[in-house]
Amino acid sequence: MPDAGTLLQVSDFSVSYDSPRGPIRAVDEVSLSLPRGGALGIVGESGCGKSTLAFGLLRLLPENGRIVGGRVELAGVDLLGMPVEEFRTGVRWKRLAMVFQSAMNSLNPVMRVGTQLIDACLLHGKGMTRTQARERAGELFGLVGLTPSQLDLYPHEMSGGMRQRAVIALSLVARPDIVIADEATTGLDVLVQEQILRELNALRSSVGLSLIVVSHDIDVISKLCDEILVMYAGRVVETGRTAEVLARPRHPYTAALLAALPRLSGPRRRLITLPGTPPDLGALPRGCRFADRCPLVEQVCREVEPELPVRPAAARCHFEGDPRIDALARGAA
Amino acid sequence: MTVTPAAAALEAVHLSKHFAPRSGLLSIFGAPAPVRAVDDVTMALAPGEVVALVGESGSGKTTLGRLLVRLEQPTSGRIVAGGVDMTRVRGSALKRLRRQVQLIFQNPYESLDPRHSVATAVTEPLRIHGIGSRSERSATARELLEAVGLAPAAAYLDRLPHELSGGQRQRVAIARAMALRPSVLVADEPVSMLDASIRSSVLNLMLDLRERFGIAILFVSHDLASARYMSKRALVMYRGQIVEEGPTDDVVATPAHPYTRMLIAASSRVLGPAPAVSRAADRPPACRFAPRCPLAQPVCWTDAPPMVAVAAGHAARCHFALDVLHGRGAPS
Repeated sequence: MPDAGTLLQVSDFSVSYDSPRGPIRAVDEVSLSLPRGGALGIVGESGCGKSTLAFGLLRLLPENGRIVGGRVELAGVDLLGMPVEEFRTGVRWKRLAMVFQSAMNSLNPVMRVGTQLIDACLLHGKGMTRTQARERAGELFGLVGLTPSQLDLYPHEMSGGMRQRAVIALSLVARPDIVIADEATTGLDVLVQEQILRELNALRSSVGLSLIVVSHDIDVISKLCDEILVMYAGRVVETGRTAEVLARPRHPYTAALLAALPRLSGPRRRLITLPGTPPDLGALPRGCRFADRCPLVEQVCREVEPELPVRPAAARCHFEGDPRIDALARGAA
Repeated sequence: MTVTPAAAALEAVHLSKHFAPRSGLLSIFGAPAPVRAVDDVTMALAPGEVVALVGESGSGKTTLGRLLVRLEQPTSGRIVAGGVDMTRVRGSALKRLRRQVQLIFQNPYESLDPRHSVATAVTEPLRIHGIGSRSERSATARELLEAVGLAPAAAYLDRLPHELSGGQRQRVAIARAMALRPSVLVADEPVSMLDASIRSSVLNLMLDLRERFGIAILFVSHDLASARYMSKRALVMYRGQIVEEGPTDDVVATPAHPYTRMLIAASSRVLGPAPAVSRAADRPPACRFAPRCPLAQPVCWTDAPPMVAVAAGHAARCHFALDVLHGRGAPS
């Protein structure tokens, strides 16, 4: 349902990895839409396909990975049909940028961080002088809570939080419309993480940036994102407004995930634990991919894979809206 | 729970660990001050008690854990286990301490030898301590694996670490730590590398083991919500010092130190307003938190704050602890 405000529209996007046992579909018919200035969160546990989705959208998959279906449109322009070279020069980093989890370790250790940023500015700014590039680099540092004098530091002279901010500044060099932040604050201290999330959020209003936040941490998504997409075994299993999904999940997986988290307030009850592990993507069950771990499972779940209804708040579950899902989220196993 | 020193399963008394700073070119201008990773920490763990040790990286919480199991030698202070001073013991006495106090590491991917089967990993401590015959040890391994939820044990004994999930590996590490029937587990961020749905099962496992074997646990974590779930008493560390301690529910609901208050605000699901910009220190502040503290006053730069009692068993190292507790800003 693309409307005038939609910046990125992804429909039935699928990614497959070649493996000795045959192709493995890590991202399976994922659809999402991101409005201009919006923030969308993608949450899921390791192996659910959320990072593959992010790398796939940037067409940065490893050699054995392939996009095997779907459409990706950025402001109405088809990104998948576009020749690789055109995507590389015109879209990646320029319109669609990414901050990776390990990116703070990807800065060149023998170059001042400012030099790396200034070089990137020169590369993207045609006819820019070095002085202008330095000015722009200082501006970018300001946007992420660093000071222009810190441009002269080497990566090893910076803390993890400062390096991560520098990498966010690098992603903003070419004034992209969208930044995909893949576990961008994972592993940082709580207070530093909070500060960086605040800065990312401020970029939405200051430079009109749109965000896709990929994380296993529901709290991070909750702090930044208006909309959330929950992934499980390559599929979107639930989508909706973040506050609503967290308050009243419609899929048992989302509910179990929430009930597994210790909280700072409310009654102290025994945490829910999910039995088993996600299914092997190379040998998927016929029915619902969550069936083996689901406390609500019935025969139909093993036979028919539920669809994800096409509406703003939806869950891929035969029992969507069942009051038992709400009870599960509240910790009544 | 009131802890009398004689009853403590494990105690730190004025424990400090100072590291020599990395020497750089600047050190020719005079020896820089040592890094006080752990600075005059006194704490006790009663038998069967779970105490949470909360702090961020650099707080010294990991070093404190390593001191308590004697993986590091303290600069000063004492470590007392079951009433016996273990600070400088060596040889067989140190071996006895190791039987009593076991450490579980953060990363289950690194704490198990990749070439050793699960059976070897779990029986190794028994072999080192010369406990039981070969067949007795293997029977113990089976019991331990089932106790940590890896059942049937036969399905896991011959597996190598890479054949296990992260959660299963952490269970093996816990089984191995439990092999010597220790009275204390020091668990250093035991679930921070695990997925959310697996985290809760490992937390529940540790609580069950405490229930079943009466083991005391020092639960080291950066996550206040996990700390609240696991413990009745919490210690908050900042830059080597304990800055707040008390019943966990009180520390979380009515924090008395500005640092704890900021940690709690950052642990919510909403983005809070930006705190006051931290000030650069031109000299070391008397209160280590002063440069980041929204409430800092001149006194915080000149006088080191003492631990101020704000309620029974609840204290914070802050000149304005009572104001923080009552949600007020510092008096101006």
